[in-house]
Amino acid sequence: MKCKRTWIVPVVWLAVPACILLCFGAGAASGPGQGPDQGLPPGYQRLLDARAPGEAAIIRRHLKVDSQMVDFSQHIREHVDFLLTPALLVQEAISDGVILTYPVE
Amino acid sequence: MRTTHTRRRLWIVACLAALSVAAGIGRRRPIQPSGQKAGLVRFDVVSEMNHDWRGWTNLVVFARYWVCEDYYVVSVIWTEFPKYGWDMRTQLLLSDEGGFRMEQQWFSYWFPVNTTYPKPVDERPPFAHGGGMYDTSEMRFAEAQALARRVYAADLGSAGDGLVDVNVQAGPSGVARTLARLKARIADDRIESMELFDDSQRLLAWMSYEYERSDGPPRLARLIAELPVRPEKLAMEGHVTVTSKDTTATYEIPDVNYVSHKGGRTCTVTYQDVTLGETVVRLPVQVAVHRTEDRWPMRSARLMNFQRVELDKDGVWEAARAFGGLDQAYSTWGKLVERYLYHVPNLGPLEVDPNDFALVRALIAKYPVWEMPAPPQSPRQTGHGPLPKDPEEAAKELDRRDQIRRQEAAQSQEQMRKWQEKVDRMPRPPKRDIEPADARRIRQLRDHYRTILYPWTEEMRTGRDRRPRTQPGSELDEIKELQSKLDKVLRYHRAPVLPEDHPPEVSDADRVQIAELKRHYEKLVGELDRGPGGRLKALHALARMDLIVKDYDAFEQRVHRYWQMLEEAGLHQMVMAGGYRYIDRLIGPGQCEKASALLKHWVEKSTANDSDGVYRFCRSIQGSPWAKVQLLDRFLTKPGLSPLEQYEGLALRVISLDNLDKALADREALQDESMAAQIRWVLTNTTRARVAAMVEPAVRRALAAWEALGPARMNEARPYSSASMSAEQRNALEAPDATRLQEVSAQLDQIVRERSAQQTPPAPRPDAPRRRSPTRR
Repeated sequence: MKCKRTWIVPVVWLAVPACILLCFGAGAASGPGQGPDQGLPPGYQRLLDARAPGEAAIIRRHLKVDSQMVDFSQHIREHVDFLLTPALLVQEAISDGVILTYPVE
Repeated sequence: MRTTHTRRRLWIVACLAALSVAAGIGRRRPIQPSGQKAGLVRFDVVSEMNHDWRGWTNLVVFARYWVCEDYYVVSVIWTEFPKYGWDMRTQLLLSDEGGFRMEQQWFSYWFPVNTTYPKPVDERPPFAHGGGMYDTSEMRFAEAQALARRVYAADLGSAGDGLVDVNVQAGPSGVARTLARLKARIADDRIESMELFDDSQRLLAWMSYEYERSDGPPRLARLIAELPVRPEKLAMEGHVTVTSKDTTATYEIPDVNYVSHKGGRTCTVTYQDVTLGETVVRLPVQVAVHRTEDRWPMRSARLMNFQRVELDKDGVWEAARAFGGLDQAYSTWGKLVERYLYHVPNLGPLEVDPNDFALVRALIAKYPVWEMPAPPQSPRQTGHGPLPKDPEEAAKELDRRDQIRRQEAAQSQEQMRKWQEKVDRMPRPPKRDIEPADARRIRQLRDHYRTILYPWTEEMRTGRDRRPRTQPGSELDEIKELQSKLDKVLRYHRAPVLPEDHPPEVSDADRVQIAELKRHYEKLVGELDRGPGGRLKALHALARMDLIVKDYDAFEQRVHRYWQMLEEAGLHQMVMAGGYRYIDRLIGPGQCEKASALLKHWVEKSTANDSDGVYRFCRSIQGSPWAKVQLLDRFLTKPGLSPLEQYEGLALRVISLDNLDKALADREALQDESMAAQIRWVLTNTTRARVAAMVEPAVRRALAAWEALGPARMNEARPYSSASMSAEQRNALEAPDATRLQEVSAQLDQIVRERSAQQTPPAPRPDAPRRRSPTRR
């Protein structure tokens, strides 16, 4: 039991900084000049500043784009395209009049 | 005297002649580094791709290439580990002046077979694969982009030493070019660095060249290319309709301006002399691509076994098919594996009329499921007009809007809290054993409805029909609803394993076939000409056949051989990621002792990896938490780990232990056959109580390591998760992406909060005096 008490205290003691740090993280995530007391997040600000309902609807749709999924798919694309890189590198090296560079992928 | 003059004249003439010859040679010598014609060259490539993603950690592609000035052919013999990530087995490519030909026989049900995309290819469309798998046929665009950016010696004209800044003209044969301008620094007829720009003066790439130090002609040692972040359009299909009091308007959604190559790319190519027949050619032998901002190794390739070959284009294509294409033996093996290892039960003809919706609903009603009520709609944000032009008025208006937003957010939170309380209090119907006859009917109906909702026609397979696979329509809505309900019944209640779920016993005829195939693949495992990819493919085929005939001793030996082959090929990450998958195959059939014995070897071998490789594996969904704990225990004893590496390892250990503890405590998990097998295996090595007792000290160690990081705990190791935010939150906040370490810290933070909430008395009331937080210093 004694052991249990000594466990709970440090966990609580350390859980609090961990939670606070998470809040710091979220605060920092809102970008420079956009702390919690400094107005709306930039994306919502753009939404509010929209001059017409159509523009707002488009901004709202763009806000839903999942950048993490896009990044993941782009990463896959680079890897897949990398299949061509050895072929293109060697082709440059065995073609007269071609300067050796790095092919895009 | 006369003789002296004559000699002097002769000497001067000789010197002038020598100088002019030297100058002539100097002019003739092509600027370096440039290509040198060498005919048709064949070589093998092992490419390793890393992922900092939780699905899988790395993938290795083994391929043979035939390349000459006019065309190239690629034949992929193997992808390690197959069935994880994208699998390029049997992929064939031929690119020449006329087109980009692709063939993929193993996945012929998915990829178009024997398709040739004519050249010139169209412009690359906006990126449309957010979250989906990238279509490999789009490789043709990557090739077109590379060729449009190729640099020719003629582009540099007769430039001498110094800085050359030229606008480039059309390419040979009028090839379209994105390269509009190049700047090169040249010294002694060799390029030291070069920058490439498009017609908007945007940097495409920056390259530097390092040469070997020797007296002879300059020999390229390394090419380092820096590829910057690039703008890219994301395809946005569809439109939005806005309805106000009296009008309705529809707006097309424009493509999103995005970027690719986040963090930049640094690509390093190493060159060496390679003897091809009687000629020595300078060829690339290694490629390494890092993310520039943090030097993270993204992918690499090793090029080897260069040979000059004498074949025409058709001959090359046939050689490529023979090397990596689908042969009769592999095709037969595939059918056996599907029949016995990936057995799809034949549930027989439909026993219930799928069009009799009343009957279907009655069947569903027999097994009531708990339906979570829809969460409350978040209140629509109060609309606001444009801000006043006067800055003071605008500031006041912003304050007012901010207050409204806060009120709305508080209201929304309160609604969510009430909804959650209501959900927690709601009674759940008791879980029942589904009767076998009903289970069969439910599964039959669900499968039938799936084929209606997600058709997969020949036109779709061959790419002629590219419409979305789901076809919404009012007549399908009811089928969709029924299919979802049938699914829920099977997930909520206890569905029995039906006799047809078990794979059939191996027939005598198939045993004979397996014995023949084993002889065939045993021979191939030893054939060095097929490279490590061909040998691994053969070994994989053998190991799968061991499982079919339940020869687990042979299987165990194959795993050791597999590790040996990977180690010889320098593929240590695959020893870990692929090796674990082999161990996993023993757990399902209950070969716990063998699995545990292999795990010990696996742990030892896996610690040869660096912290990045080990931690990526431990954070991924691959591998059981038990195996990860064993690996981390061993890895953390390695000398030389930095405090951040120590902390990350300890935090990952807590995450794995927490997952394990929860899985062992979860009785529901036993309903899942594969999960139950995993738990049985773990419990042959430890007990539930022992695992539960390990969590607490593990958390303490990890938190102490975090505390000891000093300022880094607020920076590199700050608990911050962007993965847990919704896409809209991230975009609205313009939140930066969290690093792996920050995500790990956030997970640790979550575990600490969950566990401390379970064990501590209720939190003090808001008006009670609070202890000052130790981090607010």
